[in-house]
Amino acid sequence: MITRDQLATLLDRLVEKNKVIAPVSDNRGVVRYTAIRTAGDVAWEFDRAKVPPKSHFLPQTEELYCYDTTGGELRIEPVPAAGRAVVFGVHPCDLRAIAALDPVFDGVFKDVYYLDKRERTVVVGLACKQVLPGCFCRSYGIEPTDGEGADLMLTEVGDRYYAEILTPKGEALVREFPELFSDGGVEEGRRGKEALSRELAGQFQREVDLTGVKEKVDTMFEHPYWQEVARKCIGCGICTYLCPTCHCFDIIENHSGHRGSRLRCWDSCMFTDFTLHTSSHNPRSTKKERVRNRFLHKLSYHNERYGLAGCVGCGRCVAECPVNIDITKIIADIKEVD
Amino acid sequence: MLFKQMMEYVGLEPDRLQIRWISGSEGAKVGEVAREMTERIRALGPNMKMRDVK
Amino acid sequence: MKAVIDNLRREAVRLLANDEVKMVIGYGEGTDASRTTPYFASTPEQSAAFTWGPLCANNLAKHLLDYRYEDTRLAVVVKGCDSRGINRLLQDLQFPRERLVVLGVPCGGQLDRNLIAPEIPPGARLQGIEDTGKVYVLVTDKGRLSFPKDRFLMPKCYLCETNMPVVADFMAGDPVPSPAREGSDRTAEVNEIEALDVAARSSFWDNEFSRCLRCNACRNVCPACSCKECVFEQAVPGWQQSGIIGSKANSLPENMVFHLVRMFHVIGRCVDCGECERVCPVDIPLRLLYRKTLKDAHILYGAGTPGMSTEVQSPLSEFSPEDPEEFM
Repeated sequence: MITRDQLATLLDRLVEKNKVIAPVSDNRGVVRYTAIRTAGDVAWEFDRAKVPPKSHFLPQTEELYCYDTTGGELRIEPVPAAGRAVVFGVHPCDLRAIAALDPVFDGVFKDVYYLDKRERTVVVGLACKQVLPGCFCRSYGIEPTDGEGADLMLTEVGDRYYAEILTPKGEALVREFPELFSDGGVEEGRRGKEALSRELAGQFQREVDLTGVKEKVDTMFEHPYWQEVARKCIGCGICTYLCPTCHCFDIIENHSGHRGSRLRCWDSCMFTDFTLHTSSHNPRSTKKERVRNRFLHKLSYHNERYGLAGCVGCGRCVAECPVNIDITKIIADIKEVD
Repeated sequence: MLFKQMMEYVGLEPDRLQIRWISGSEGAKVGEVAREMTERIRALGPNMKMRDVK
Repeated sequence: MKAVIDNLRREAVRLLANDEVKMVIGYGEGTDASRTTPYFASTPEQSAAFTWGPLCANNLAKHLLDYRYEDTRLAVVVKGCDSRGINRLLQDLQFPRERLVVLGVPCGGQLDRNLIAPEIPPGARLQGIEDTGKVYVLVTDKGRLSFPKDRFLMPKCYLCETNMPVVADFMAGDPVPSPAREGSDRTAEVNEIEALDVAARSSFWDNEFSRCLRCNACRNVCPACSCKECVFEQAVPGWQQSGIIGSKANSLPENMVFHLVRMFHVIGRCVDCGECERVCPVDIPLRLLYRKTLKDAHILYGAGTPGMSTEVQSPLSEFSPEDPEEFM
């Protein structure tokens, strides 16, 4: 168990030697995961951060290496390895999303940039205290108190947090600061967590039935339904940028004179130039193909490649889409259409 | 003028932008305007606001 | 409200049944009680799903651009603010008038989704909306929810310039009172920013621009952004660019360039419909940027809000010897 004050002390102490990423609310109340200087920066009462924590492991803009050709000789300077980091306050849907990203970057091709950060980062999960109207993680088999994917999982019970050590990394973190954690009241904490879990389970307003959806959607590549959805779409990147599992990127060059660097930036399959070839041919030339690709990726491709769902039911795209394209409705429609 | 006012609005120095209509036969004016502009920009110093901060 | 919806549906059925248009673009029921969604009907039967009310913030004029190179005739539903966008698209020859049927709706103000969503019981289904004059009542299966217009409308509505469409081939209802506040000043917020000293103005915008996600939602929803290929998406591979301006890199200078370029490009085109600000996922006060250009274009060139009519040219596409200048 750990009290709120002790947790704040823990974060303050961690900041001394680590990069600590936590939900922070900006001046307009938009919460995203950013580096904190003190525990006072944390938005303790956040419900769902607008931008998911993937931004730590896959930053929107990331330098891959720098180069210098002064004097006609090429010198490449690799970017220094990531330091130790702690990501604090990750909800179960986002924990699951990190799990869905891992095999993408740790597959045939090992992505050192992602894996380096992943390896040196301790993920501290935080159970949800409420279910938002747009949440449907339960449909993906996620409970809002699930710790799966976290190194250390915290659940607020009364005025304290029930802490569960789930991995050696989590254990090491607790061992580093034994004075901040106590064994007293653990049984009470465990019961509190169970009660919270039961309470939250009854709060879901949105549920989707995924039975047969993958199989059905796999037969729908040429279905006119996608045209219908695409008519609404304005082709912005909100759904993909706010999605905790979307991970597409584009690599660009930033050079001036003899020096420069190569940058990796988030990209979105909703953008017109996403699959644009040098020949000017674009295999996904209209919104229909782009929208179809997004939903097929979420509902089928990710499953096929990694055996994991490409959607975790966090509800961000549902909440923010300017034209109310709603994946829960898409899933329901897929089951309906002929 | 609109663009200058926009620059001012977001906190950039509007003096960094100058638009002049110079005919093809006014070679001397090109030099003069360029010299003036260069001096003005030197006085302003580097535009730190637009420096890449990555 | 009910009568307007019935009129709209009837007209949509008529247009589609007589083959006067191939498709009607309007509003359909949303997936929660706080919003609607753009809805496209191609058959008279589909027209039964059209709706209208104070949850129809989307400016549907933008959707016309998807069909600009086709030869079909379309009908689109517009509010007062959206209708200025129609005029602008017509003026810029982005859509031919003869292929367009404008269905106007009288608007008494749009509810601000950010304000009403927290008041709606989770899971409530919308059954209807009543307008009592001062209050919108959302009738749901979990009770009647009252939203007084003086507190729950979108900020732009209190500054409304035209709550009745400035262009319409068909009006679905009688005029309703404008939601504009008495004595409201559309330049007030711009003046506040202008009054700040340089350092404060600079840090205000640095903060806003650094929060930008570069999701392009503001550009993509904007009826003024009608370019077939955006300057930010020109087919120049990264390694051919001299810098990273216009790339997907997210940094303060990059973001500032994006917003300044957009700001300059929409002068004379921005109809002040406020869609950019509505869709911004990180709540950047984008209208403060474009309102500044509206204000300055007015002071320098006497330009009014673009799109009020198709007769008046945009200030930057017209020259008059009286124009203020400093470039000679």
